[in-house]
Amino acid sequence: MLLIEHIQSFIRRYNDRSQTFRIFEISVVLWFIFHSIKLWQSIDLIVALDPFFAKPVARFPFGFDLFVYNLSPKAFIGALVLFMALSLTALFIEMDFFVKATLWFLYINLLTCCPPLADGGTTLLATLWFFYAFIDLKSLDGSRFSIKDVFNSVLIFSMQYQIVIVYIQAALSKIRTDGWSSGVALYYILQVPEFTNPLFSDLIVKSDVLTVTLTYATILFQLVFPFAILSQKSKFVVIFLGILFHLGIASSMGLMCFGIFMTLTYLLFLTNEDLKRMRYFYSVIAKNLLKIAS
Amino acid sequence: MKAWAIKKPVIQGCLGIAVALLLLHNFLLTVSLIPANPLSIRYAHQAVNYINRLSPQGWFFFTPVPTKSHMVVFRDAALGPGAPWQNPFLDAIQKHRRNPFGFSEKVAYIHMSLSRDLAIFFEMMLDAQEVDKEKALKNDPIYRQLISFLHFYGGKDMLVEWQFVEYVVPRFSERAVHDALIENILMKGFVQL
Repeated sequence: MLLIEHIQSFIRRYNDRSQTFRIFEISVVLWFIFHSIKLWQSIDLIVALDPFFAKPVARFPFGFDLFVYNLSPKAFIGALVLFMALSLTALFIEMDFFVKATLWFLYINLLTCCPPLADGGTTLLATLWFFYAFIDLKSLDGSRFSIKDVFNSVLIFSMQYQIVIVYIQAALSKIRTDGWSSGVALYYILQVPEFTNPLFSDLIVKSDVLTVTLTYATILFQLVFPFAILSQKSKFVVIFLGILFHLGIASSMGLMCFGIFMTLTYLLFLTNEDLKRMRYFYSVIAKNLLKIAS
Repeated sequence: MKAWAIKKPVIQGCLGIAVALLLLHNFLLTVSLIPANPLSIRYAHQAVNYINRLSPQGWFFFTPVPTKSHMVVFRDAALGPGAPWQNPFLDAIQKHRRNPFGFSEKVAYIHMSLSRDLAIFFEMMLDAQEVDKEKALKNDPIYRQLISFLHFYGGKDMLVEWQFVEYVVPRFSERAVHDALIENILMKGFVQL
């Protein structure tokens, strides 16, 4: 009996994320709007590239293919407008399952129509938002333990696991890849004309110390992340480093959508308690700064 | 109260199935992404089939080491062989370099994708010895994509000469010798828009 109560208490503490998830929800919706505006700016080119709207070659009996339809260019524009309107509305109201599911449905159809527009972050978000649609924020604050709490905790765990496995996979592949294991991968990456910001790339590529250090630091960070994120003590440090890491990718390679999205995913690892601690931490810093200023 | 008594086991059953599916998803994700081992080899086919559907781009883009990049350039054939080559994406790429927060990011993605698909086609043609490469290209969907792209930037009712160019990044040990990317023309042709 004691063990069951212990497990229930653990699950309740694990699910204590209603506030951080609401922040995650708002952040992702803002990202949806940012991404949609970027799509809208290139809409002429997107609809002109006819084969981008080709039917999927084969449908897989499982997975997201069941929900993907072949949009014509006009339907694509309509879906994009609806997606933007729904995202704007979702900023001001707490979304229920149907709103989240509709956003997800529009999102995967927009992406599947134009595979070239997808990047690692956009495809990862399709899975994350699918799981997120089933989470009822109100039930996370429920006073009595129920089977739904178990379901919620498995959903939350699965969302976190998507992120963690990306880091594990990236670290393991990098260790086994020549450019990364020899410490020169950044030199090659920063030569791709589409995704190179000369301001940063020249600085890094011209310095062997920076190239090798940043290449190995990337592998080290990705190796450490899955373990450090589990500990209450190291969680904040690794999230801070992760934000620096992804903003570094965003600014040096110009992968803005991807970089910003990956930093948002760290919200999934924070509980309401962590949020309180952060508020306290920042209030102390603000007070000290005010004291110094006065 | 009675209705709830009937519904409760059904709801619990559905939630139980959903939990099992989520755990299965996590298992397949792990099997498909970890390095090859006896367990992953046994389930690799099912796992990779399932996971690749969730991420059509593939999962290994998180480990990029690009040793080359590609570009499509074109010019109006009526202007003769001396006319300068145009890269219609250059403007978008330069804007994106100057301001990554701007709106050229997606255009750069489209360019990357078109170039990547053409590069894949070229690699396939290198392996296939007995194939009429020009005919194969014209039957490939990527050619339709290339034409619609030239159409968008090049205009209508004109003969356009195009080239698909590869830029090889000099090896790290030779970066002092080659201060620029090494250019190779992989494919070229004419197309009536």
